[in-house]
Amino acid sequence: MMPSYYEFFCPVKILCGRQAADNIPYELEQFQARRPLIVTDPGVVRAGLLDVVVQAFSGAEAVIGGIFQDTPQDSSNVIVGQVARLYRENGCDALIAVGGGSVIDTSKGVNILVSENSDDLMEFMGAYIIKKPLKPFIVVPTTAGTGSEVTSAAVIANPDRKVKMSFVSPFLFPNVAVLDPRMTLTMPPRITAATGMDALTHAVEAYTCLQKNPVSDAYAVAAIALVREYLITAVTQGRNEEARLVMANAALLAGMAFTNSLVGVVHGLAHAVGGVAHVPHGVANSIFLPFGMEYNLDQVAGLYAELLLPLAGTEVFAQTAPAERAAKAVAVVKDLKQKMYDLCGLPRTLKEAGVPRDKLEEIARTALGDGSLIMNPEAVDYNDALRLLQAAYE
Amino acid sequence: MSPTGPRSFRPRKKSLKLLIARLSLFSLGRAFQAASALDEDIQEELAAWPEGYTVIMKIGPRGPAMVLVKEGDRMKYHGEKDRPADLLLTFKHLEAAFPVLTAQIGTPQAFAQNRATLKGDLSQALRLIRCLDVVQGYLFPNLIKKRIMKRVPPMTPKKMLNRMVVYMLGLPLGRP
Repeated sequence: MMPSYYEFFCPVKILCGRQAADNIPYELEQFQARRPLIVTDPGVVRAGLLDVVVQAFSGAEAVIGGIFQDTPQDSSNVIVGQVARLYRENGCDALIAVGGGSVIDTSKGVNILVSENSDDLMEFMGAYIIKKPLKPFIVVPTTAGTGSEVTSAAVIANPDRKVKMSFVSPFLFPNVAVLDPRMTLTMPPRITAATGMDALTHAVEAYTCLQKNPVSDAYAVAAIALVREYLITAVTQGRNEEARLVMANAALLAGMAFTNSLVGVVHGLAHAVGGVAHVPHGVANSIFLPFGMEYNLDQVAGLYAELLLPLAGTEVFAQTAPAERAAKAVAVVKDLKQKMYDLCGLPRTLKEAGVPRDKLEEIARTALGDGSLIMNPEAVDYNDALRLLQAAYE
Repeated sequence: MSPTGPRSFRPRKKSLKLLIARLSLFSLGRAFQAASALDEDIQEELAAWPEGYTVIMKIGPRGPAMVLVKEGDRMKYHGEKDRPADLLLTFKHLEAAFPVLTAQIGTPQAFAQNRATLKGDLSQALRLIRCLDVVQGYLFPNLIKKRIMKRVPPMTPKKMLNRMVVYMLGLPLGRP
């Protein structure tokens, strides 16, 4: 269905393939940048992935201006402030994020502060507040799920004010996304599964939420088909470069889709369960996806029916009666979730993810403050959220 | 071919649309004020906002606005008086605002069609949207509500009474 009006924007240059990271200094030159600050986390350093990026500067004109390697899993405005100070003290002129969602969002926050010459992120909280281009920003994802390398949003916690600050701006898009299979080869099976299910959730919600459009649909469908073909291989054969690269592309395509079409109730609940009970985002999305699909089934059954094709392939699609395709699509997602559990123990329920039952009310209340609910096709109130949480508990 | 005079490049004024938009914001502001004094669902949402919390809905770049300020346990409508906002919702221009202010499309569709920008805490914006849903529940008949809302809330006897107050005191007199 064609929306009466839509906008689509994604200005990120994509470098994809073996040795892609070696092109980083050349890309910096295109922006006349010579002293990038690298932002990463301890896991990336331990896995030796930072060395790949550092080595790319061998013989380059640009020199690394500094490295911040202590980004925590849940970043905050305090960390962003520290990194911004490091950037200024070292006279840097560009940013390179090497890591997953937290590293990338932290870098986006740093880029706001150093480009706007400010120390207060709160000034820029909200949608479309940033009014000018930011510093050159290159992202090298080390997981295949968040899609943050191609999104215009960042979420950064402010523990003092107990606020999760959301930032949305076309200027938050990175300039370059680098998909290099070397960066995801060492990802453990369970994280591979969680991030892959995260990408699938982005794509399914992008295809079915209110801001969908023909362009985001194309990216979402492509992403789902790639997840179907390669997620299990990436989980079971971590060293398979082809599977790793395809999953990186699936995450990127899903990211391009959802940054333009936005997401819905699955993300609303996942953000809340992440905030209250610290369940990793991909794990939470994987748990909630089939429940969210069932919840929206009455509103978007036709769209789920269409998704059966990329979700299950031509044979299953053709063998399923049109009236049963939507329910079948939900069943296929449930099967995939079970497979991920069988292969690597990816939690299927909130209980398996370690969420205390007495936190469900708080999670439901928190979910009501999540912007994702606006674009969900079905209305969601406190009782709806609580019912979904109870259904997903065990 | 004669050269085109500068007059041809001057866009026509949209005086009528502007007047309708201004009236809509005025009605919404007064209805919001009245409903916030009467409706428990709105009051529950407002409890999270501190005294003086200011919400502004305006039409860019220089269009009319609706200013609401938390005073006590309700929102007070302050006309178009410009002041710093905690939550600022700005429609990109008059044409972007018009279908929303004339109830042709709902709030989710307005955001889905990129008609407005938002400055402030997004989770508080969700509160505002839920309050707007309640206010629209009082203002519009079911036919319109079904078009602009995902789920039409049931009209209980208490809400029927509130609706009468909104229409008889809120809109014409700016009370309670």
